[in-house]
Amino acid sequence: MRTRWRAASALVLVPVMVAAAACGSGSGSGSKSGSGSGPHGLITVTTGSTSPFVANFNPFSPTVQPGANGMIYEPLMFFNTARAGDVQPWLAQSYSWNSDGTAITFKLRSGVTWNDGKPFSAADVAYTFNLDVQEPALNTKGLPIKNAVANADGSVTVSFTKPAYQQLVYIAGKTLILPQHIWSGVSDKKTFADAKPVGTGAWTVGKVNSQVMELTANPHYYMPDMPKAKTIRFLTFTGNSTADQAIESGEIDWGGGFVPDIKKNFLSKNAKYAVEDIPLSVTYLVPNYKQGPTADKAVRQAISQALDREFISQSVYNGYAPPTNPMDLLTPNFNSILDPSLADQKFGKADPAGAKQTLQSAGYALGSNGMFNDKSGKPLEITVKQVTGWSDYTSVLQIAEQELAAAGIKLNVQAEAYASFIQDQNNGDFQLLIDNFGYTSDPYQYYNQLLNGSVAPPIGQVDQFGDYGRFDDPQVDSLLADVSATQDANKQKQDYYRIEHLVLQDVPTIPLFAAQDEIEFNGNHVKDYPTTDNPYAAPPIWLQPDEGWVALHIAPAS
Amino acid sequence: MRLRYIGRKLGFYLVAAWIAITLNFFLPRLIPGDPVAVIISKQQQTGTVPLGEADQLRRLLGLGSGSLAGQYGQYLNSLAHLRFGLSITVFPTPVIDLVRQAVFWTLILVGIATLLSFALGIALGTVTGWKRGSRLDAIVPATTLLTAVPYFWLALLLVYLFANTWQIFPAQGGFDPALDVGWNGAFISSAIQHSLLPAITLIVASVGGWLLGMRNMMVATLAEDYVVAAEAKGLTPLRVMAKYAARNAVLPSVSGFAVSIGFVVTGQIVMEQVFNYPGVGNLLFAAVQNQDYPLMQGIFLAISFAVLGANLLVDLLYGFIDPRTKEA
Repeated sequence: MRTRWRAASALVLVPVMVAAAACGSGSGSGSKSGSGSGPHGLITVTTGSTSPFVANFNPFSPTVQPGANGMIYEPLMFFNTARAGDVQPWLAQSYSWNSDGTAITFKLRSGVTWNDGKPFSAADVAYTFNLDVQEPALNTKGLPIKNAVANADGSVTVSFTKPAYQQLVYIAGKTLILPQHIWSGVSDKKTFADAKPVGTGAWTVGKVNSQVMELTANPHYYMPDMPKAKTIRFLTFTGNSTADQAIESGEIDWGGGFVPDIKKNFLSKNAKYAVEDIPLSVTYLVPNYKQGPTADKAVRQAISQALDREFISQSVYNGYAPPTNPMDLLTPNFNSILDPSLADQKFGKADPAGAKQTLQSAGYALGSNGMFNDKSGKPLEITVKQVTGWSDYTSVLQIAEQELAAAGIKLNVQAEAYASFIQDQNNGDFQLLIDNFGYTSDPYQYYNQLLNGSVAPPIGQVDQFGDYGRFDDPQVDSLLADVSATQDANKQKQDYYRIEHLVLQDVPTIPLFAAQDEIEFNGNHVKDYPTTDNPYAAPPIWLQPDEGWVALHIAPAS
Repeated sequence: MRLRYIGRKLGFYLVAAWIAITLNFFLPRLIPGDPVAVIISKQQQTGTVPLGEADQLRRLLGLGSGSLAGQYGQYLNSLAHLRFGLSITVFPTPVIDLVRQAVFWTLILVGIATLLSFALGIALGTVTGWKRGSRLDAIVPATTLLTAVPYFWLALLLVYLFANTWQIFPAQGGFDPALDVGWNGAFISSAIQHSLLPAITLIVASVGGWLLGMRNMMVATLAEDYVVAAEAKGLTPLRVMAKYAARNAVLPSVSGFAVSIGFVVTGQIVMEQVFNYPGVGNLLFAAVQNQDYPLMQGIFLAISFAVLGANLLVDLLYGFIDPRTKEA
């Protein structure tokens, strides 16, 4: 038996070496031949998705395949998620609103073709938006579209039933334009298996199997000298540990997994390994604003004071979770709407004495065990909910538990399965929970999701929009409504400034730090990816459609 | 006589199948949560979600229409037409496509590993039972120890040793991603090479059970009068061991084997997680994580029928292997 095993393993070694040699020579020769002349080379990526790949790129799917959004199908404009206000032409060159925000006209790019060779036209764009009207189930963004018309000059006008300024990101940045000549022949668009997607994008579908999906450069792409790479290969992994193994070994050129102790486990392994961490969302402790101990502002304030955010960021994320501010604002992304008078508002070191003082002056008394009691004399205990297995949050909460204990506040950590966690979050069934919010290029969408009390239903009813803590301040709501009713950036700024002051005063949430969004790049294989100094798009491969914009620019390193 | 035996068995299996189908419908719905909530939450991990999207998704996915009883009716109806619905995890892919793809990988890897483990365990068990009291008995605690070690730990250790330290085997995956899936030499050899390490871990972890059972049955059987008689007749030791002792001692292991063959389809969630293997176990894991009822139902159904089918087959075969059972 033993000898047979040895023989078998010797046989196996041969194909391993052959495969390795084939890989090496393949990418090597690719990068040599392609010095500036057309797409060349291979980029291997993983989105962290654990589902098998299937040949189905239906863009209406809520769980659309990676790549479909931005790489194969494209929106009209690119809204840079890493930098608010950075809007680039994609399929459209520009847009203009009518006077009251009920109609928008897009001037389209010329010379664009679908990847089957047919020309792209205004009729395709109008068709796409009219689909939302004809088949309301396809209108997953809930856009208030009245109709869309292709104008004689080649532009497109989309009309709305109400002002839609604040839907711009969804209209121009997230609606994928479909070819009328293909989709008009599809009877059931919801369940159409779009195996050979005909898009305008820089990529077409190569091969797809459960573990691997390859996209191949579209040779007729309309943006000059784009894309740079010939092939993008997506791999799927069962979870963090298998993905990390591949990322650390250099097999992945562009990955987005959480690698624990990333300096030691990744960066130190190769001089050309790089990590880009542009703040895209904020990690919060979301307090329940309506019931339980956190309904009292003093408790929220004390928790915030007792935490040492810098220490947590260093201990858990190697410092890759940059500081945030008490206005709940994602910076530097939204610096443009930050009230200059608040620019120096920062979180300091842990201040247990200050936290104790806050609670004492609000009527809480320290018990004989050094822990606070609530106003009825029972111990003040706060339960924080997290998702089981999200190991970084586990570490964050362990530290928070100790820091709060030093301020006399007892924190209980309760881990729940993902689905249960979401259920509790949506029903408002929690005292405190840890989660992150953001990933938008639009400060209105950001604040609206975080703070708009007018759309969050009462506790016990399902909330699937945001403001899970049921923060409720009519002033904030009306300011948000005000922002959404205008296109005047200066007027919006004044509203945002006032919201920031209200947030500072109400403490609706307990922001911790900008969420760690470490994206790993293997500099031996790729270059020209977005960096903190040049954030031309958000770097995460799992962030759509930014990933499509990055894929246009990223190039195999020679 | 024989027909009545088969008929009775079939009747039993029909009832069992109905119970399995029904449980299969209700169990996933007992898991707290809601698929739309999971999708929205995942989308919020990568951006803001417009107000009202949740209701739209419910319409798109065709969820939650009608009462539970009504849904059960629809479910039975589509099963009768062999329609298994569309997956939510990778909407709108038919569940059957996903399951078929995964079952293929699992059947080959786990199937072969189970067969090898069984054959190896029975062979070693026969020999150690025959030579009871000799040094060979040391195999028993050794293999039992390997079975007792938590599987994931053993698997990770072997990955560390054979894939990371010595790089004899690839650490993960079902095949080299550079290759095209198909019946070509390069792909098949890559698939085999990727399957060796997981197969070895499965065999190492399970062989002890078969071995122990077989050895103990051998020891018991060897004390039987007919074995003594066979020896007294002067038959060769090999013949006594194989034809007289082992043939009778193997019977309980065969029924155990039937059950494990059925469970082959379940995949090995832990093994597939550790080795990033594209099998049923991983698919099931993803389905549960995403509250993907149709996919869960499809997988559970495949598992239930595989287990029932394997049992039925062995039940019927058992009548031939051991004629006594037919009279019971």
